[in-house]
Amino acid sequence: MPVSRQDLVAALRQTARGDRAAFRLLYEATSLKLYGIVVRILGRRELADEVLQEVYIRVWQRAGDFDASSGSPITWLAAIARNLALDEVRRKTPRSLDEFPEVLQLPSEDDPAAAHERSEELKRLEACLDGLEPDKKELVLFVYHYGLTREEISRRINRPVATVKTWLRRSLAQLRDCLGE
Amino acid sequence: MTEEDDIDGLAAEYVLGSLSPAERAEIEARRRGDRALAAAIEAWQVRLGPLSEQAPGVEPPSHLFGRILSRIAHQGETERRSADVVPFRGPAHQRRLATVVSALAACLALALVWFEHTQPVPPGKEPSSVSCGTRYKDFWEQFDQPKYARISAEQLAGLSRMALRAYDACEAGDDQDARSLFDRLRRMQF
Repeated sequence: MPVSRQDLVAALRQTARGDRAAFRLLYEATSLKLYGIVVRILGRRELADEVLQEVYIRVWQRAGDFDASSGSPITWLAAIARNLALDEVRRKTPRSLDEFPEVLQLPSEDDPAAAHERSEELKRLEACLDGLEPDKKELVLFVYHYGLTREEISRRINRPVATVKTWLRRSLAQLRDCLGE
Repeated sequence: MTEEDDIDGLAAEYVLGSLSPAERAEIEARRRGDRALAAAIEAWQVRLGPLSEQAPGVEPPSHLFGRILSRIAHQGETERRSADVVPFRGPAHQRRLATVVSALAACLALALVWFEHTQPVPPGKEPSSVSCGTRYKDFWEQFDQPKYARISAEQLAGLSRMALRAYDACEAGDDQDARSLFDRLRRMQF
């Protein structure tokens, strides 16, 4: 359901006041995206179902903390979803590498629907990611979307953990510099 | 985690999601008392957050929202995150790690939520008039970080359960029980 950023900000404010209709609107407008995020990190639907419930309970409790001046509502919601999914996945025994796809599957930039949804912030970040070496860009995106630890990456690409750490730190520092801070 | 000069690198990896469970738990324990780290984490959330837009949506099961609503309705009774639920699977070291991570995550999640919703205790105020969240928060604030390193995972999990019991007793209006539990927690030596 396409809902504007302004609508989401309003829905969060009303949710903070205990308005369940606004909370429902928020859920309907964002659960597709947030469930996509947690399913990807957790892999298993039954775990994702539990975590998504936790996410919206957290949103219900903390909607008043959202500060529209410091970011978009969907980024704020996605950060809650990622944190809870990462906490949950870290409680599990190490995942098998078979649980991850060989290649990162993201909507193509040529896809008109995907292009329409991309914010200016994402376009800037993607331009900076394009400045990384292709394998480092792939690594950063893979870690972000699947929540792999350095150790998991190390086993996946058969390189020492220290090397993975160096690559990640350098790539992230390069992104920070490119974004102009 | 010794690289004092690379808070930014740690914050970046924390937000990216590449830290091990132990490092992640440590960052979460540290961020509340470390403004530089907290600010670095927020900055990285702003930088990397737009990547979430890339993730394709997946339709959640239709019954989920009903469950969320019913859990909200019962909130405060049964749905507080509790350190009682600790996954006991895998080899001993993993169980130990899981215990530490679960206990820390539960404590910190609760402490953070209540910290956000409660005010600092004004000096001279009677303990009985202080909110349960503040009492719980104060306990963990006084429980300094070096102690985390000294006590075992089992002790930490036990401590966490006891603190939650104290909070529950306080919320339920059983002030005597709450006070006795909080006092016992404060007197514990490690």
